[in-house]
Amino acid sequence: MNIEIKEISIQINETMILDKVSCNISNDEFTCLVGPNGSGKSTLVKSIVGEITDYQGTISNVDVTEICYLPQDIEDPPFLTVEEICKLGFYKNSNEVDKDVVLESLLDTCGISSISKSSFTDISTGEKQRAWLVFALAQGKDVIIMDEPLSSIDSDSRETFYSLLKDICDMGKTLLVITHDIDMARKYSDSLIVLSKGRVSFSGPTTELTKNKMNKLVD
Amino acid sequence: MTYALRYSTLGVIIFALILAGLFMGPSNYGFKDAINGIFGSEDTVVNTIMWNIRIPRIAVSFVVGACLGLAGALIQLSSRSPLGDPNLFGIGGAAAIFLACSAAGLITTQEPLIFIGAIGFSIVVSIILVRLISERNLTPTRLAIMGIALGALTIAISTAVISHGSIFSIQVLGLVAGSFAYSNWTIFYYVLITFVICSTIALVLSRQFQPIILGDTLSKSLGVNPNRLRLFSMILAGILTAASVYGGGIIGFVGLISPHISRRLFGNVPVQLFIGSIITGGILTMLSDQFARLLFSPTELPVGMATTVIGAPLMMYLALRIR
Repeated sequence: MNIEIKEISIQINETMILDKVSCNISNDEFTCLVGPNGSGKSTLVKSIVGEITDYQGTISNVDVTEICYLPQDIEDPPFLTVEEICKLGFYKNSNEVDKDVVLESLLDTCGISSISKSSFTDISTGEKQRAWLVFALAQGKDVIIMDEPLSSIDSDSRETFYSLLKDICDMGKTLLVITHDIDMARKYSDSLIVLSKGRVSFSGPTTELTKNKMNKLVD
Repeated sequence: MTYALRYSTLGVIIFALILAGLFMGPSNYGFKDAINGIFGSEDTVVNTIMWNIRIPRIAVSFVVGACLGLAGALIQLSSRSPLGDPNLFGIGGAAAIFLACSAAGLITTQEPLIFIGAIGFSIVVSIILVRLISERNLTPTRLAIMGIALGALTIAISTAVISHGSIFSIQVLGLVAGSFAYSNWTIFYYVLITFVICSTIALVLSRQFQPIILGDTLSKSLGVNPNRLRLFSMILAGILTAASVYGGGIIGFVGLISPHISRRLFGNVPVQLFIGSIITGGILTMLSDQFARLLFSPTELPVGMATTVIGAPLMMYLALRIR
């Protein structure tokens, strides 16, 4: 079922953070949420995952227990190796019988098999995001939401990361990714939601949005 | 090295330390006399020294170290700080304040209320630390600084209380710098029972402790309530630490080092981490006590001195590695 967001408004100290935001997040699609800083992207996502509950409007067809939410700037967990962190994703997932085999294939899919024994604090930012992705996939939930996964990564790594996200979506996952990177969003996403000053300026299939129109919206 | 081999090696070290504790000391006996003293039934001087001084001392030092090792592992897991140590963070110091008040006659009460009071004081500091972590969202480094300030404060207060009570300076030293010179069976039983209860709870719940290392948002998403678990584990650490102070005074750095050694030896899975920290904590404390009593025998050094000599450089090394 698609997650339906209807006229969500959030006001903090007389500032409208979100102003009657309505959009859909379609099942099994790769949706990108774009917009400038302060446009309300993170607030919208936090409302969807239930971290923020003090809003007007309705969010329907959302099962928080089926969402894995990876917030922005996750602090590095100390002590653990990449593999140990990824394995924690299975913590509540008792459906998976052969965890080691699944973990191995997930590590392989995300391209971090070779560093699985490294200490998490020693790997690069891009590799950390891949590890978090494995962690999210290991949970076996339907929806994965990531907040700015690649804000400080060079463009080559972004390209491969986004194509990985696309592959994961093709595996039958619903993905919602907050990003600044309009080019990547246009290239890889199925749907786009563009936020600007707390309002939705576009919501729909990525193909319907031309580059010119998009630049205008985001500026 | 397989786990079995590692455990056996630690077992051998424990055995060697027990032998040192039994057969070496200011009053030296022949091996045969010592054995007779331990196993013989007649009431000789050697027999008294063995059963009333040396054996309880070995037993108390091990179980105190085990308490500290487990407390350190619990604190490091729940605070996500590699610098976590129950005595550096003032949890042990709080127990010391109560014990100092009791020794100085400011609080007049009997056993087991003295023991329970010490636990109560430690739990208060545990709860203060939990609130700091949960509400202020402290980074591990800031938490360490905060904890060290609390630790210094509690030691200052307990020292002041002892000076006020004009107690003999050797007792001051025993409480704030660690000593097993006054070990007896009563102390051993108090500490042992506490240890058995707390370690059983920690081991039974160990699986729950796994996600907390990921931080609050992610552990919530795995269905764990990080605040409740943190409170619970810090209170357990508080009880264990108070028992350790009751048994041997404030012994710094054992709680800090033991989990790090254990991680190297047995990995990060909480069950292994807890068991490993218990054993390494026990060994480190026994070893330090043997140094303390034998190095300048018959004069004794405070145990905390020996543990600090090992622990302080390690803490500096860890601080360099934290970002």
